Amino acid sequence: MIDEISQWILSLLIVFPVLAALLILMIPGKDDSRIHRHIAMGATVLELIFSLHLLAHFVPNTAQFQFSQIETWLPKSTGIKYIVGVDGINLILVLLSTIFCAIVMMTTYTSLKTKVKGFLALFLLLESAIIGVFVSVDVVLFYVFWELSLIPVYFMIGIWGGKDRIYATLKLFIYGVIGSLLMLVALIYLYFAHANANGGVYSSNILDLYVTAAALPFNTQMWLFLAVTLAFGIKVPIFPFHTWLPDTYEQAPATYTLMSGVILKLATYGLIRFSLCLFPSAAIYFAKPIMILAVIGILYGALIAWKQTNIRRIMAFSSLSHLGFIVIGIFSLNTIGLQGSLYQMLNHAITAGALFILFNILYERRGSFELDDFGGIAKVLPWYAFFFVIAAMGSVALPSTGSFIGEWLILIGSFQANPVLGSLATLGVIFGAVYILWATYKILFGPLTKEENKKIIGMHKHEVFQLTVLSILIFVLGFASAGILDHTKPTLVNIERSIKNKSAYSSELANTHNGILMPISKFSSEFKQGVK
Amino acid sequence: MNNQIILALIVLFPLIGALLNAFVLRKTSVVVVCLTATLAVAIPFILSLILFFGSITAGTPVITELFDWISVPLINGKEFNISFALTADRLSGLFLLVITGVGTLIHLYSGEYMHHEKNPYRFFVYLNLFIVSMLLLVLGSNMLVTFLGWEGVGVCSYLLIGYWYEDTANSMAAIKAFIANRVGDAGFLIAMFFCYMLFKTINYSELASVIAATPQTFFIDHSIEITLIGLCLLLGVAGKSAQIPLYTWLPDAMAGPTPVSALIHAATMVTSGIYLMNRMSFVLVLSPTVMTTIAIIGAATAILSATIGFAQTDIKKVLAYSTCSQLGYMVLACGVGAFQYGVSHVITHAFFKACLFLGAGSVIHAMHHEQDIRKMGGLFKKMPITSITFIIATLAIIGFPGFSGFFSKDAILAAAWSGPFGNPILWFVGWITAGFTAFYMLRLTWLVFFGQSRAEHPEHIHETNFVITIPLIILAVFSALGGLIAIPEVFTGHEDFITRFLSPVLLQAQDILKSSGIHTNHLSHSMEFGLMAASVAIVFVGAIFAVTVYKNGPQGGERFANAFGGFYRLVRDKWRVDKLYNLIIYQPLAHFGKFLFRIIDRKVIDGVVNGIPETLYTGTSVASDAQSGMARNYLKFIYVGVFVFGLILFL
Repeated sequence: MIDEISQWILSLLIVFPVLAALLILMIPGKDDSRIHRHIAMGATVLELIFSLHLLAHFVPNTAQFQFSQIETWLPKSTGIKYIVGVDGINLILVLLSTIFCAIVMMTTYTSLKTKVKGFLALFLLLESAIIGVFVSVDVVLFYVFWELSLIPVYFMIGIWGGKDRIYATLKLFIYGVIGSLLMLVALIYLYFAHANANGGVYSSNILDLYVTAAALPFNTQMWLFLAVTLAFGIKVPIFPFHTWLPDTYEQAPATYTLMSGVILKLATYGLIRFSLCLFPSAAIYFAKPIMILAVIGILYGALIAWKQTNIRRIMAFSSLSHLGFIVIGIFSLNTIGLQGSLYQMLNHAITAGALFILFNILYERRGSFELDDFGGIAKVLPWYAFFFVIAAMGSVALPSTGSFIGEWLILIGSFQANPVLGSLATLGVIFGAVYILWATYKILFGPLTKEENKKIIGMHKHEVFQLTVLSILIFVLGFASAGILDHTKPTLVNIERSIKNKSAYSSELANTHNGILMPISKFSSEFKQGVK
Repeated sequence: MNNQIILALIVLFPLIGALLNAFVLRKTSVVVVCLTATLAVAIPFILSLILFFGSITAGTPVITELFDWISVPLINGKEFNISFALTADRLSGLFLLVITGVGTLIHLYSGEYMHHEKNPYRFFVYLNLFIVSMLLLVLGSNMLVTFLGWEGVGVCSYLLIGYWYEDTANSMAAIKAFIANRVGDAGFLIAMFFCYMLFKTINYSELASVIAATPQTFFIDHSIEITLIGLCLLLGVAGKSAQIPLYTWLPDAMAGPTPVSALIHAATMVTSGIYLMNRMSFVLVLSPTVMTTIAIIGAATAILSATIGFAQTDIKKVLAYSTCSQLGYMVLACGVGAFQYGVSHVITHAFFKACLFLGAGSVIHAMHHEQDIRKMGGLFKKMPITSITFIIATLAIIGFPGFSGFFSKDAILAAAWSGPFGNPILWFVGWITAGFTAFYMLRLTWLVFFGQSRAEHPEHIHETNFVITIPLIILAVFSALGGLIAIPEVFTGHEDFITRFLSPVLLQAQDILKSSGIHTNHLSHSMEFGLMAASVAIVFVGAIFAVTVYKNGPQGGERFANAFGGFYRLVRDKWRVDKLYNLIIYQPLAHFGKFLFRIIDRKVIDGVVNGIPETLYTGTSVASDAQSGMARNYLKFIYVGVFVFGLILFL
């Protein structure tokens, strides 16, 4: 029984939200009826429960893909298959997504007022696509989910966004199209290169393509690396490809901004799985310039965030700064840095999510994202101030919060790669504190002068719940990192080894383990006991 | 109960106290909240005593490993492990007693001082959290746990300085303190990363053994990195311990409630830099450049802030600058290689400065939040206990013979002359500063407690109650007698207590100095007595001068001010360092931030992005509306197409 569940669990996680979305579309009802919201909420919670199966039955001390499933969906001769599986790194990202979707869904009870059915369906479709991106082992499948994850976002912003939503969507769309096309070209090239190298046998399994890509001449690798990295780099975003982010954040509906914590991680995940693992030689060659861009992003984002007056724009440049840390950790090309980046992906989603929830609470009550409209809120909403300070601590990456562990590992990892860039990135911790403290002061502290703020209504139950969960997570991740990072160890060591040896990720994997996809039977309990 | 558990409990109690007050007792009375918070520090004090006399003095450090904090595999098959571990050795033990001991008194005192507050639980939660952080700082077995405490005390200090957050000035002072500390913290982080890079560990005991086993040539080859580690640590120290160039936050931090100034900004947090330098002494001494820099920074801070103390009129500001100045002495001690005298001055300073601040608090409390010394005077008769304890503490800080400060400061001055990195110039600066100290402290004491009362309603002023005076009395007793830990050899015939007590901690540093041929120049007894007589003389000169100038009240200072004109104004304006920082750091960065957004982000990068379609347009078409390029229209069509498609699909 467990074996059957394990075999189908990933497909279930992909399909279930779609089914729930269809159900919502079929049930008639007005915008103010709660039934649709209840279904969507229930679906995300169920999805979260399903995903816990992964955590319960994951075998941590191997880099092999687990819960894998291979099905044929296109003609055999194309070599394009439906392959899904998780190893350590996407496991924790899938869990992050399911937890986060459930938390974010609660926001729709108050923030979503119009065209409710459509929005909820899009949101569930987005969840499905996100999980699809994370678990795909076949590059065509990955590409399909990647595109699928972009479409709901265009609609969310285009329909439910602010007054300049069309400009924002257009900008996002142009960037998205450029990125997608670059990626598509690179993947098609690899697909044919594989057939050339293997006597006409096609495959789009990424584990096969790892071998093909690592064998390509350096020049070719270089161009393909640039195409793929640019595609993901736009979406991360890496400086200077970030200007879509402020516009998007400013115009997007609350739910999207909350989800962005996860959506941006699709790209950083792509950097690890594609840029690093496909082209180890090119990754070494380009590591330094990319680290430089990341450091610029860290300092540039933090400095700009400090001088913004609009909360959402502060968050946009703050994200640019924080994602810079993640990128520099990835391109330090060692296990410590990678581990830090992966950990920071969780932490950034959680702290940014908490801050966005806090800002939306103000927006729903006051209709403003301008810092100058607030001040002295701590006096009227003490609990709000409590959660705000915790989220701010998380954002500043103070020790005892998860972000600290993430940033610290990233910095120590990047120091091994390049002490000068590591030192410069460390300066980011100073500027990172400046803008958050400034925003905290402008919102919470100072005299309470505005009449509207004196009458501001308290927090709803679901808001308190969301913030409580996220606050607890912020601290739990600050101390329990050893247990969480255990899951990702083998995969990351394997990545570092493949880069150091400039060899294909999958051949390193095959060297250390029997086979790349772990047979399902291994999840039976007897095996788990025998593993250690 | 075994020692490991006691050590864990010491840290756990204040944490539990904070959680109880934050979530359970928040609505109860100030008495309950204050008692809970005080007990949460008093119990650890008792436990620390048990641990200190039961085990630490006997020479066995107590080590508790709580859990694995971070573990990352390395490609060579090893693991990069950081455990959340606590170590109480002799150095930590001394700090442990000061933190919990002085901490208990100040918690108790706060119960009275903060009793009008509407929600005092918040204050006590922060205080308890501060104690937790401070304990972790001195107990951490590795740099990371220390750093947790290091940043933790910064946060608590930020929250406490900004405790009365409705006042903009307080919030600004809080932000300033946090940022200045954060600059120092970045230094600490970089030092930590370099340590890991060179020695592959950040655990203190491993670091010590790795360095002991490393050949001399390695240090010569990596002298740049070693020096950088030292300088970055010094930056961290400058942040926490308010030294040049980062000291400017401390005087502003006086915006917080007075018990906070006593506990955090005088007795404990600001001394963490001295702790760190002792803990890392074996790294610092590897580079003579670093040691010399530390000594110069210490001496410069001591004299600079003492001069600022001359002209301040806010009772807490005078004490704040005196704290910077005394911290300068401690840093000087570390820099010349007499790390242990830094610690003994930390301890005596904790007593007399806490006593001074709490005394100032008592005065402020009695005068209904008046802090201007020009409006005080004649309080001796009205507040005898506060006055006497304050005067005892003053005698201690100026180094009046026999009082605690006399011994701990003289040990530093002697070391500044004769220590491994000492020289007569450093001694001279320290000596002059001693005179300055006597002057500004006597000026303060005289203006507050003697002469005619200048208050508007002197009849309302009376002695504060016992919750405030008892801590004052206890601290005054220790201020008088605390010098016993540093009574020099010349009086007793054997090495002073602190040197013997801390020798296991500092042994490695001394060995390194010996092996590199740097020795302590032994002072002859007559020389030592000579130095001592010199400092007693300058203290008397400073004190008598102050009393002569101010015997008729603050107007005595005006003649003085007129005589010195420009110099006086410069000192009164704190050497205009704040203005300078504003001009050369804050303003340029603020403008740069705006420039980056308006020009680079909006015009340059976005210009290119939005320009691509427009360039395509001008390149391909001749006449059309310049506002909408062809490519842009094209993309709009795609957009509309996808949009419609989606509408059909989803709605």
